[in-house]
Amino acid sequence: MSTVLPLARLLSRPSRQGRAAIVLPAVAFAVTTALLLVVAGGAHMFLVDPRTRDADGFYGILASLALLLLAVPLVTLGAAAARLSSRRRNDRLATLRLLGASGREIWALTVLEATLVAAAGAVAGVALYVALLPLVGLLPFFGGPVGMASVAIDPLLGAGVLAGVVVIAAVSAAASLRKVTVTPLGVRTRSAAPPSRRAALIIGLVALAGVALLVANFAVVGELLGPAIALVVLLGVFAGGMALLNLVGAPIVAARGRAMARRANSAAQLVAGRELAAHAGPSWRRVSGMAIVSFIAVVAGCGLAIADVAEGAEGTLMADIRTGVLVTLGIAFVLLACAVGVTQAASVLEERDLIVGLDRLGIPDAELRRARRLTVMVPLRWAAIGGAALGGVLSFPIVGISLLVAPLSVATIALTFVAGFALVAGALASTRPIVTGIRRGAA
Amino acid sequence: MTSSPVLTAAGLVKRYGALAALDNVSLTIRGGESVAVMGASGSGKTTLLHTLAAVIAPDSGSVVLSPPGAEPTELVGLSESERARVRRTLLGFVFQEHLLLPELTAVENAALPLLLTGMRRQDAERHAAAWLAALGLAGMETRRIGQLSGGQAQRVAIARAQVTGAPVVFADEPTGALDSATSADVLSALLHATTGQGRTLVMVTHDAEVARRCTRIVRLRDGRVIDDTAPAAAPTPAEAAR
Repeated sequence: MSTVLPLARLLSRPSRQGRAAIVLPAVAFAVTTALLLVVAGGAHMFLVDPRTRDADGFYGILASLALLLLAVPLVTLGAAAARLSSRRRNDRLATLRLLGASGREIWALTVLEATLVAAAGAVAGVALYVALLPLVGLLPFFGGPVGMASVAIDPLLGAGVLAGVVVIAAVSAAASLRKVTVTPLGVRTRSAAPPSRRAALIIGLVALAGVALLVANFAVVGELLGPAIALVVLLGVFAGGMALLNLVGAPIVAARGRAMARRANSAAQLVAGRELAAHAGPSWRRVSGMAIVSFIAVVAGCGLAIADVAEGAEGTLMADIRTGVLVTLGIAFVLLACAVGVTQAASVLEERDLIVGLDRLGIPDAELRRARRLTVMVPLRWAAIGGAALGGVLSFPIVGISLLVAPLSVATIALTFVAGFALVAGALASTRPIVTGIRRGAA
Repeated sequence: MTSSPVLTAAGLVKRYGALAALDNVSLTIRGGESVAVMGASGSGKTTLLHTLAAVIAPDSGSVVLSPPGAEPTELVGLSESERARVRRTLLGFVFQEHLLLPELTAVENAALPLLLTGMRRQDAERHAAAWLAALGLAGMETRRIGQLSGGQAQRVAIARAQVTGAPVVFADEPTGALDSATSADVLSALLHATTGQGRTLVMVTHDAEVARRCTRIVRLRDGRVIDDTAPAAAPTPAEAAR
């Protein structure tokens, strides 16, 4: 450990391409921390505020669910940021190995660096949270603006959130390094043989059909188990549905990539299609957050439809659910965009030599950008369709015809997709300076 | 008969801070020549290659590309996108690390430059397959790069460099990562695909054996040309490609 700290200090000097690669994860962690503080503050309010007593703890359950939903994109983001951190240092880490640094020292160095970046981002996130707080106070809950004092986070809880973000970053960094080998000759990603995707697809689709059947007959489950256990089962079924969607996501992306490559009539389509077919798993994971977002959007669409027709005290509860859902969706979008931006930055750095080579061949910048956009947008489209379809199947029997007849739900879903795609496109565009830096640096 | 110049460089200067990577270099390269650029590390040979190939712009001087049957083009002063277009359509490149796309098959890699010119996929792949066959890779068209040996992958890179019919091909240590037997084979393939077809090859190399098979050797030191001669027993392009 005595050598790790001086090395970390030496390597903290920014390189030409390193600046964007260090700023991106730091910004991502700042945004994540600020949003988590907002959600944690809100969840705390719903658990202790006397105005929620009439709802039998329903507010608390929903707030906890929102927190759980946001945990997945947070872990994805932590892993992506750690991967970016190690890729940024490819040459230097390999040189250190060549000079005799042990694998353990390199591991400690990378995890330390990723943790420090996360800590710096988290501290900046607190400032961002303080700036956001007046806006959060304007959110309408319990029939009017909720007020800054109600949603302001308890300092102890805030410290816990901060520590949580840093710990998740460190654990994600350590976990992501298991897939990377730093040798004196360079940094390589360990590659295993691709799993049998057809089997995963069949198992996933059969299990999804089972989940849909269970939900369709949920009244029977409710009678058998009682309402409290049935609610827990329902939440479990939804979570299981999302996990199954992740199981079938990669095979669908691989099949789509193969079809795209077969029919490609431009270099960008050919490159993107082959890339998707060869790396379907990582391509899917990069955007799988979109499946969650669109799933929430469809289920929420049903909730909003009910809120439209509800009246009185129950109407207030439904209106609050609508606000909560929209806030969760917005936060999930931002987390998704951050994760896409960071993973894209990491993959650009991984393919540095290839980008330089293609530049020398005279391949236009726009064509490379088109290929990159396709490799993100095609799985994103399938994640959106898959999440929405699953949400539709699981919610339809519960909420019934309201999904189809309420224009507000359709509008929410449409807006969700437009906003999600726009945010991801923006996140993709944010990695352009790294590509430009690599091309200029090579000249 | 002396063929006409395809590349004419005059008074090239390129500085990196206080270091003069190119110090008033002038060079004329004629059609069908194979030129080996040699020199110690830091002598400026890669900078010269990149300047002649419109990868970088010199601080001063001129580089005129005169492809057969086309108007001469002054490369210095072109915008970044114009230089990219020249590289894509008129020049070919072979790197030490082949820099092929691992996800693509051999024929798709070789066809990539043609797809970028807007050629139909089927036609581009037919053209690329013909080049692969000419370079001894018939039957390997649908293999991924990871399924090829180093020498085979380098032949795919040569096919990619030649598939557009580029009149000038630049190679940066094309055999540097290969064993000596494979190196000789790949060099034969490269010469066959370039000077063997009447095209021009400009190649940076450290290897005297490789340079000996070229028709001309340019030696650099401290950014200056110190020697520009034919090897003792310079082969004809046809002999070199054999």
